[in-house]
Amino acid sequence: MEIYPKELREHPKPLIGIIGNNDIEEVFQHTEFHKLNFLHLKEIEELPLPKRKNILPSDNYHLPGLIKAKWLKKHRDYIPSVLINFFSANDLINNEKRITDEITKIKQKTKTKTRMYKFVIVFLQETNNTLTNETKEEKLNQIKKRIEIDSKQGNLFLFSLKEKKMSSQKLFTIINDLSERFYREEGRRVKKNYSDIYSKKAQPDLFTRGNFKCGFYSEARGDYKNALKYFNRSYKNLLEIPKRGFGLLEIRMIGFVLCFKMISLQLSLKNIGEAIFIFKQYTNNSKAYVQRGNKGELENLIISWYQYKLFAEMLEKIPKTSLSKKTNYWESIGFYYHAAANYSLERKNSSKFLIQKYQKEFSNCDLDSFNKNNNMIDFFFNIDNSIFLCQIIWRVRNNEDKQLEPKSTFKLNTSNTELSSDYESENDNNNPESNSNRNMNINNNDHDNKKTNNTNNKVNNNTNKKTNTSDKVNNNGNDDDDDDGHDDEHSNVEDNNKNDRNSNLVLIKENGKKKKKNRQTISLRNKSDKSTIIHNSTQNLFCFLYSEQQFNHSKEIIDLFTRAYKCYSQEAISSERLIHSISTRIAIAYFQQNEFQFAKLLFTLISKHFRKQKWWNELLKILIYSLECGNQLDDYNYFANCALELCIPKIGLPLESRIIIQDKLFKMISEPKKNNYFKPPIKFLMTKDFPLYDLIDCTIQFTEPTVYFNTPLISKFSLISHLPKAISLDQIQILFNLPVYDRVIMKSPINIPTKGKGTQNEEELKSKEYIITKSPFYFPNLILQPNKLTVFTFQWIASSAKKIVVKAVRVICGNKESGLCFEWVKFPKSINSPIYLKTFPSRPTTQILQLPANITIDIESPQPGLINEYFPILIKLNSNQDHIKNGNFLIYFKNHEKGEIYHQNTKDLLSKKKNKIFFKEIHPYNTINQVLFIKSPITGSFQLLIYVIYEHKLGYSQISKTEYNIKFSKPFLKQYIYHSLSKDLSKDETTVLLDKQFFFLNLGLISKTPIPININQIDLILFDNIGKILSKSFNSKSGESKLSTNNNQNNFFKLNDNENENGNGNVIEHGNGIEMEIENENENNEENESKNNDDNYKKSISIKQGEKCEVFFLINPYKVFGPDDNKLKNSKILPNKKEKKIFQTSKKVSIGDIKIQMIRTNPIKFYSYYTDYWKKKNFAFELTFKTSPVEFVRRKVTMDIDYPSNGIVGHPITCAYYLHNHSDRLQKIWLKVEQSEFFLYSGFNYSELVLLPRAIRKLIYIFIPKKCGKLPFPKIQFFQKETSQLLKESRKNYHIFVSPSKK
Amino acid sequence: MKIVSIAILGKKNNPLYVYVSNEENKRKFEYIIHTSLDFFEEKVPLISPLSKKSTQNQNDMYLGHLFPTEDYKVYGYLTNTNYKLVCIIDDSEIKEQEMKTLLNNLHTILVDTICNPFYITDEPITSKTFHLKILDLIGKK
Repeated sequence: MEIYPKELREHPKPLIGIIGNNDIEEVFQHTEFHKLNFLHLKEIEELPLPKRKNILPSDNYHLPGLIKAKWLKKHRDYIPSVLINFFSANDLINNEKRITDEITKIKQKTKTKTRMYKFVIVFLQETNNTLTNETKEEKLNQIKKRIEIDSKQGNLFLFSLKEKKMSSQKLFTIINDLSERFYREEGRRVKKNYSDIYSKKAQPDLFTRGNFKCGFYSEARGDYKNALKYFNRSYKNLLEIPKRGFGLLEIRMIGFVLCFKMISLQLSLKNIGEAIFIFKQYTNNSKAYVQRGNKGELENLIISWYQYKLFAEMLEKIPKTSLSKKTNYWESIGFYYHAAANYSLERKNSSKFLIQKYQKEFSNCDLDSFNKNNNMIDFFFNIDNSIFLCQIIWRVRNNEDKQLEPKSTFKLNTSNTELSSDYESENDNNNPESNSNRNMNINNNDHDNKKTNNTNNKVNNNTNKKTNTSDKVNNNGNDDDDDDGHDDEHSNVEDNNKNDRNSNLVLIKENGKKKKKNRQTISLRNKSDKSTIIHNSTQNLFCFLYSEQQFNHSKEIIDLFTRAYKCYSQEAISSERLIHSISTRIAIAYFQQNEFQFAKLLFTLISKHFRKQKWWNELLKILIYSLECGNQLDDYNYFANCALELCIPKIGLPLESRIIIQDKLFKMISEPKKNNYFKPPIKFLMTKDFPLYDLIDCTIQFTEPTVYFNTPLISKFSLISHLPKAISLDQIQILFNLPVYDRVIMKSPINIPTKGKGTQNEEELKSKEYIITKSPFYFPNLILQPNKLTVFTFQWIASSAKKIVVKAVRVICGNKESGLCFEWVKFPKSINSPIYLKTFPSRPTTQILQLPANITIDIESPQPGLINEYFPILIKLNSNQDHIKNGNFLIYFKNHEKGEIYHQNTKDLLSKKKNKIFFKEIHPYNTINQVLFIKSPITGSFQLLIYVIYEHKLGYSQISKTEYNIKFSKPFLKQYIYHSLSKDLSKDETTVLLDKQFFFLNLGLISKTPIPININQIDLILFDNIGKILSKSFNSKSGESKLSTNNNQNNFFKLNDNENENGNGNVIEHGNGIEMEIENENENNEENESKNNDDNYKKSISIKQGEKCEVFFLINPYKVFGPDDNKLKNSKILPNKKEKKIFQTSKKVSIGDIKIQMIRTNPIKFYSYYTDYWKKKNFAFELTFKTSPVEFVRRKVTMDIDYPSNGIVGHPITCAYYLHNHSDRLQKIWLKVEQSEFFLYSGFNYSELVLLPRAIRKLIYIFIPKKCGKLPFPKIQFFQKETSQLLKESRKNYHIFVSPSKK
Repeated sequence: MKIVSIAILGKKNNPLYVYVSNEENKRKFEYIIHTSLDFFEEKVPLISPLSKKSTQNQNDMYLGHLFPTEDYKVYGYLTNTNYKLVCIIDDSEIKEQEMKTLLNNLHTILVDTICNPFYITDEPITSKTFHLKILDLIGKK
């Protein structure tokens, strides 16, 4: 921004000329005076006056240059709008004549033919002045009238030093008004000149200049809107200029100036959108002047770079709130920095190209003269040369590329020299002589100008001798003057006139009045001078190229890209990849600036992104740069890393390059480093697409496709190294897709020499010790020898009981210290049979496990256990050989959710989290006994998993596991109950017909424990007097029928039968229950009898394991159905269909509780420390449970028959049928009598009967037998009409014995 | 309108085919193509069927002008199968309909190529026929 010319960067201020060196600081105390610029003139003669020129309006006149170099500066710094002269107020009285003369002189000087300067004469009134103000005012008015001062041109002002502030403000108003008037008049004059004289369409260049000037005047008086209007018109006119008529670069450069003028005005008016639009429009338009892609277009690239950078900086200076929301790419500041950076890159390439092209000439050139002019851009945008950047560049181009030499549309001089005369003249300003002249007249403050001129003097010293004085070249005809037809002498911006169509004759014209200046004559510019000018151009080219060579392109590129990066990062528009792209450019720029360390860091970060995105082409470029970074930094590991990745085929490195890189890599690997093995920090992918990694080959084999839970999965993992040196590895990590395999048993690795493809010695693989550890696991200094197969055998134990399919196995080998790491992924496609893990119910295992460390585990416990009692488990660990002392033996328990495990001594509960106990050492040939107690609140069996693990410093090294099934039960008996009416005990009937009034309840007991059970008493307590127990009996049916005391085959006992009916009864009634006693099998029967008689209560039945004991109860249930069961809801006699189902025909109830008392007496042979405990627990145990429910059924109508047992032929027999209605409703009965050949009888064959509720009806039939013998009765069937059921009797066939009649 | 580059990007944003008129500027265009993915992602939520804010026609796969660079204009086209077609033209005025038609035709060519049983999905397109069709499309054959 700083290099942008001041006159373009800042808005112009009105210039006020102060004549004389009076001490006037007091006068300009008003704050608004800072809006003005001041110029000191010693005397009125120093006022720059316009040249006198002949203006010959012509339609064919065209400007040789669009805007003159010094025009802006001239009007900003040298041409005042208002002149101020100071006098003492006393002089009004004392020296009136002198003052009058002075004012007249000023008036005459300021009023020129074309320019009307304004003036203000200030009379300073001292504080001690005796004269009144009124007197002085009168004097002033008199002078005004006398001299005839027009208020539009000037004014006289009495400045009272008493009232400084007020006077100062008034003075400012007067000056400001006059200044505004001056600029307005100037603008009108320019506008009038052009509109009157020239054609807008034919001479757009003139209108460009005119509107530019009008814009400047408007801007100077603070009217920005008008200024914008004029600049816009100027720009439009500029675009209409034929593109080959002028130097394209000049048009572009003027466009640049106009555009940025408009942009700065729009930004001042806070119209950011408009400013962006103007810039956008300008860039689009300017492309018409540029041939992109041509490396010779250096000057265009510089302008493009500069315009984007400048605009970005201008936008950046705006308060952030104005640009907070970025919705459009064009609103992003980063975009402009990015574009500037891109152009800067192209500029760099272009300058390189040109330097190479002119290498020979360039090397012969005297470059020392350029040394002081390090930055050409500074030179271009120097205050003196600001606008004429284009001119210099154009000259460079002119010499560089003659094809693009503009052809004059108006047929001016076709030679380059002629066309470029304006530029030449500007360049000529740089020569020492012209400078000397200029410096005499121009304000001495122009130090920059001096410097530039001095430097340029050196450049042009040799070449411009002939032309340095030929500044002023005037044509006979059209005047190439300022648009107002004159130029200012003191500005010394001489016009170079030319454009003689017919001849190259250039007239020498003495410019202006040669008063105080030593003007040089203007040399003729003819064809003979052409070579000189070309030489001069060439020199400029070299100067230009030299400055380009000195320019730090990389620094500029980095700076711009970094700015773009920051802007994009802060802005809201999506730019993730854009940022990566910019980062890449920054990294490359750093690389080109030889900052390899930082470049490497950036490349490493960026490459991740492209690798992830699979943009191999981009990655390839980054890797190539990274490779070179590694090379430059002597970072072999980084180099190797990049080289290996570059060799991946999909990266797309050409084959030749790949071979070169591979050679380098192998060479590097082969070179011995500090250690004698290769330790590159390489992370390379072991994939199929990576053939270079045949360096290390990796395979995995699985022994089984299907694996059971808790069964080791055996896998073999082999590594072959083809590297020239051994590789150190310290870590292998094998991961499955699910973390089910968290433990691994690994055999020590074996190195097998390979011949061709590795051959494995199976016997060797089986050997060596196991290490139990978790994955990942580490090998201290495991070294892979070159060309040797290293095989690892693993056994994996799944810790999860899930069904899984192993989809992939990943192997990561690495060296933690050096960072070497390679990853190898095995997918199911490459595995012949994918691994399926299945979970099966745990299989009972032996209680003794043989461990490799010669430790045996023995587990003992009584089975089954009683609920709510401590159930002991004894774990014995025997060491047969070694004394193991360096670690801890841990015993883990799992799957004991049903019960609780207690420690032996402390009886502390071992929770699920703290489910381990440990002890430290095992002495040789010694046994460690560990007792644990399990207490279960519920019955059932469950599995206890016991892990015995040896833990040492290196980790879990050994493991043993046993599964132990524990059963807990309430009693040691199994009960089963059935009911029967028959003697067949195997028949289980649960339905009892209430008509029959009694049934048997059978209770069976089977012992399930090895410990004999003594049962003291079995009782049946009926509920609510549901019935009555008629008789009870028991029978023990062991395999060999050892119940010798019970000789009754039927084992029935009758009610109140206190004595053994069959001689061997030993049942004693005790309330509703019975007490049984069966002697022990070892006891004598006789003794048993006597004991039974003496003390029945003390004896009991003993049941051993597998024996069965049965007890029978004969029960008469008479109160099964209560009175409510027969109740009708509506007490109607007549049947109601809705009430059909009210009569309850069946009921299922449990008839009572069975109470069994038993005792366990026999001792248990166990170890002493818990046998005592076990013995103490011998106590009478009582078991109570309900009988299984019995279904009782009753019928609505029953039928019974009464008939005699014998008869005589011919004599009637009376047979009675009784029909009983049990329900509370009417019942209809159908009667059907079948014919019989043996009997005679009368009556209806079919009849219908009605039975009243709870009524009994008797039907009498008289049969007369016809024959003798055993004859069946005629069939008489009764059907219940409601259900069409046949009423049955207990007997199916009725017969009668008929004897012959007596004769 | 001068087409300077045409690119086809795969479902996973990986380049399948990149045509560049000037090989010297290939790298520059690749940066632009890569950057265009940002704008695809920015515009895709607008036309996603799941998006409630969908304002465009959901069947319209033409995304229009994605972003400008200092010299070029970048146009995008997103197929229903998430293939991304990028067309870079010089910074001249162009009718939207022309570009739309061009990208539709490009899509048709792409579909024909993908339907080829010898083409492996998501692998770079190396078919010569495809290349010739592209040249034909942009009028360089």
